[in-house]
Amino acid sequence: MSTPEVLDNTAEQTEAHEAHHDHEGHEHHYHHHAPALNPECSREVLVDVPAAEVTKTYKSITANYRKYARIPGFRPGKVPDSVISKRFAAEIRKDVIDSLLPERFNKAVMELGVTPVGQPQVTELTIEDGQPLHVKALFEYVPEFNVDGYNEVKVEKPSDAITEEEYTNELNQLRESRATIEPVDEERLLKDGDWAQISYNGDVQAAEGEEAAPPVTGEDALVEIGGKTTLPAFNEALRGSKPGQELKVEVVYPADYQEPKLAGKTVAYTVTVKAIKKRILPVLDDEFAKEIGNFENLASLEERVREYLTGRKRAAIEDETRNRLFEALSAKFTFPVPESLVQQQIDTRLERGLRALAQQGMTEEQMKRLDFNRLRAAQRDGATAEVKGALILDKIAARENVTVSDEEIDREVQMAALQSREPFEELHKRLTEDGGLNRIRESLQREKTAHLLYERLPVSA
Amino acid sequence: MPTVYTAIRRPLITEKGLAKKETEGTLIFDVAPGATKNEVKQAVEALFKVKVETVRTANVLGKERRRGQYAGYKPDWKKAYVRLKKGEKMPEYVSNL
Repeated sequence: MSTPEVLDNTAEQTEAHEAHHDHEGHEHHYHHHAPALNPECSREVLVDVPAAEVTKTYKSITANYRKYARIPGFRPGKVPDSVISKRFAAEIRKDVIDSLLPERFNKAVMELGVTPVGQPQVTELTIEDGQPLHVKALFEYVPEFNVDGYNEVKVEKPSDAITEEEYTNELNQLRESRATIEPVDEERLLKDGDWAQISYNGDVQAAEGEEAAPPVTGEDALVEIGGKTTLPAFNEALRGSKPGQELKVEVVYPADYQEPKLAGKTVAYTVTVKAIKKRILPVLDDEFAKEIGNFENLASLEERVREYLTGRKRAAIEDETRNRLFEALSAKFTFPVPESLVQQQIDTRLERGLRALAQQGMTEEQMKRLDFNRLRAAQRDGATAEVKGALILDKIAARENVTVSDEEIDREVQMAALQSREPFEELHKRLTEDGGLNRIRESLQREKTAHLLYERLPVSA
Repeated sequence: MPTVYTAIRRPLITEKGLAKKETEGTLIFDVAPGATKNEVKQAVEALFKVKVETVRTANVLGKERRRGQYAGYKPDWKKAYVRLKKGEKMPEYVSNL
């Protein structure tokens, strides 16, 4: 565990401190910019390292710098330690801390018997060559809480079987998408459900003080009589007419009409009906199945549609049910939520949001002008709920012995590799180094646990 | 005439300079070209609060520097070796950046 941010800040202080030859030796540096940790799940650790060990570490690190330091006036490798330790005071200090602290910190935390989360906050830090090292740090840990009775938490779980109605709707949609418009042979008048082939010429009546707009014209347009998207005035006029007829229609477009050129305008149309057409839905047969996507016959298409619908419905229901389950679980088990995790989650959410905005074409300039404090505050509740859910799931996973195998992780990495077009080995290596594999393991484990809980819920009638 | 504050321009912190300091009790400075040995002596005594035994100076000619076909010279400067009296505490240079 390294604390680069914390150390950088204090390093600057020490430089000033040494320059003034101030040997008081204590400095208190409180981090006002760091989020306040949740006092209910944070602890303090003290790490002390004897002077001899500090000196030894200083020596070996200075020696390291001596090997590579290039300072004008000295041949490489010949720079005296006194020059090195002054010149690289800040760097050496940081390295010393990095090599002494993390291990001891982890040990100290382990002895307290809790699992730390987030970055520890250093509240007190004394470090100087030849002096014992003294560090006081505040860190948050995974709160202890009991998930007894999580199996009793029940929420409604609707059946995920598809109904006949849903099935027929889906099939009809398929048919609609393949519908053709055919001319009607018989001589008759237009009625609802028919499609009229018309040509029209509309004079836009200019409002006072406006220039006359060019007329709206169209040839061979198809209009559905009584259709949802057809203007009511056209429906009225066309209903009962027959091919060859010429009609006058006056249309007053509503002010919020989707076509801004016509919104709020009155247009006098001259419409000529040319033909009556009918929309023909394809017959559900083997031929249709073949056309729609290489299905052997109608039965296999139907099977595929059922399969698809079931999958879609199941996913939607699982998603929705799980959300309600989490809500119920969060309500049942109360425990302090570590602030550092919440902040992390807020970061992740914001990042996701910003990426989405960037994809919609938002420039960096515009992003900089966003009020991040407000955005963060807005994400807070959601983030807290997510952190809480994750912590509960982790606990349940331990109870249920939900584990994730290496193969499962590899599969996940493989998918990510395909998506980012990075070779599998490279990605795997990178993730191993930056701890990404553990993150994947965690999220897979949570996913598995959530699924397990969901599966266990009885289907409500 | 250089004052105590302008006579000394900077200490020479180099392998040679530090070696002389350790073994011979001698500090080396880049000093103002117009400064005399006496002025350097007074400046060192005033600034570092030490007693100076002797001062030797040398005028260093600037090296030739070329940018392609054009030749130029680095500025000439004066170097001063300042030997402190026996038993004087060697001053630490505050900064060597």
